[in-house]
Amino acid sequence: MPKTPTLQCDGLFKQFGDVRALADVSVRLSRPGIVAIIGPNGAGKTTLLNAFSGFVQADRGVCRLEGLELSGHSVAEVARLGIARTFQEVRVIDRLSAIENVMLARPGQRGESLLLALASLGWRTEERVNHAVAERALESVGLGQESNRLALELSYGQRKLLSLAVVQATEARVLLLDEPIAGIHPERRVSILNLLRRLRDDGKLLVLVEHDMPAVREVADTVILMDEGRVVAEGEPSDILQRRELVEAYLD
Amino acid sequence: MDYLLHVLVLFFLYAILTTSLDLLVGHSGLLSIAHAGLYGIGAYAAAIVSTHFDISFLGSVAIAMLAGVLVSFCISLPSRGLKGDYFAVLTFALQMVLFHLLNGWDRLTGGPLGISGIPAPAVFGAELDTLAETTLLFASCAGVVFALSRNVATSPFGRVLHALREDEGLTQSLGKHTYRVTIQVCAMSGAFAALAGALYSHYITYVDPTGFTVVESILILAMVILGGPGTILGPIIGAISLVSLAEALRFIGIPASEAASLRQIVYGLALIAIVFLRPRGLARA
Ligand SMILES: Nc1ncnc2c1ncn2[C@@H]1O[C@H](COP(=O)(O)OP(=O)(O)OP(=O)(O)O)[C@@H](O)[C@H]1O
Ligand SMILES: [Mg+2]
Repeated sequence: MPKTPTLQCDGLFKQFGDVRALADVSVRLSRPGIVAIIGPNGAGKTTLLNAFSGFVQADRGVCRLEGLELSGHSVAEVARLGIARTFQEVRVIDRLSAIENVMLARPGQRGESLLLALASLGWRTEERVNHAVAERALESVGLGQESNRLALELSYGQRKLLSLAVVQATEARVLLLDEPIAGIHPERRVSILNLLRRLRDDGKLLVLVEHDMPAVREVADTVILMDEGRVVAEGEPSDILQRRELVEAYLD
Repeated sequence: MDYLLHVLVLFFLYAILTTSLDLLVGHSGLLSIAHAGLYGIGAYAAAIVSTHFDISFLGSVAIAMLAGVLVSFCISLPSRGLKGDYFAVLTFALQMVLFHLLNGWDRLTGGPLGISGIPAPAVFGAELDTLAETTLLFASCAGVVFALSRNVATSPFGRVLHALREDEGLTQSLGKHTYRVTIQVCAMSGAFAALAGALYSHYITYVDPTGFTVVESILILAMVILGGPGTILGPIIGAISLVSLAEALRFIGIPASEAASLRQIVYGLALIAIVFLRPRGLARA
């Protein structure tokens, strides 16, 4: 019997007015792995991530996490089931410091219960652990020096790195990353690609939407090419990115 | 001396009201205009139970706080998906409803005449018969409310509130229980507002609806915003400033009728200040 895919969708449709953002999309993704979703602007890549993370309810079709149907679950429920995501327009909490943003993301915090918060009891130890974990996550993206700065003071690239530290801290098994590489300085880029590989080697499934083809070629195990809401091609990067007809039609 | 103690009592009373409102306005980005209504619920709940039943001061305060929690809980139920200004409009409407309940439900609330003969505060059977003792009672209650609110604001629970006030979608995508947290903070804020109401009832020994109008809600809001929402000490500074201002106007010998209008004008100016000082993040974007 074939093993259940970590993340899958079957026959996904999503219409926005006249625009078909998703038109019969079916994919099966297993962890560990790095899957890159590529394709022209407006192809439906972000919409697919939105459908997986509960931000968009598909008109038809189902998404499943390890066989469990996700439709009908709220965004927060999907997150608690083990899917974390970043946003193309880079979202962090501006008026929290970098480290608070990361600590916020830690799952199952006792200090988030009102009673323990009121009593100021039973969460200090956990908080120290989360602080240490958050510091390591910030260091892993090169923001170790910025931990006490407000997120709103950080540059665009730094905010993008911060959002990567945030999803790491969730400990989700599935990370959906919308353009994690674009806009990152070449020197930092190498270490981020290494970080992505390390997360995969920890057993996670990473789904990246990315326009930076050299990065995709370097890091992805599988590439899914989308256009006009459909999956046009799927395969290894060396294969997809070499096929002249695909590159000419969709990627130039 | 008695006058100074009375002003101190007012400081502590308003410090409770502003601290509890700031849990919503400053820490959660929920612009509530129903705080005077909840304050009134507490005042009337205490007045009604302590004049109709043989119930102790502490019992009456506890019942009042429970009433505040219940009403506040109901207010927070439709908060799911109600963003920014819509929450303000909703609470404005509820403030109107609450006031008209207090003003119009004669058989229960005495209507415009209110309720008199409320017993003075007594702790464990000992009546607090000097103003100094009463002041101490208000000070202790304000201290407890302040400490609990600070605990909450500086805890991981408070961190979720702070995240929520800026970006609900992102907070949900981190798996946080945004709806539950909103309902809980509303309930807590309502309990404290009602506590202020109950203390006030037992202190003045008389309540009528005029103290719980939308103008009072806006006065409390003005104190919070002037002091600095979401800053822990700000709401208290705001309370001290506006209470002092009101008393100063009385003190410089302006006739009562003019002082009343002058006070309204000052509050009006404070309201204009609200519009301009309204900080980022107040409306959940
Ligand atoms: N919330 C929405 N409301 C209306 N239209 C939408 C919405 N979200 C996406 N669309 C439309 O759906 C189509 C696919 O958008 P999507 O954001 O998924 O593209 P994308 O592949 O991520 O593109 P890009 O590479 O530019 O980010 C676009 O035509 C877009 O305008
Ligand atoms: Mg996109």
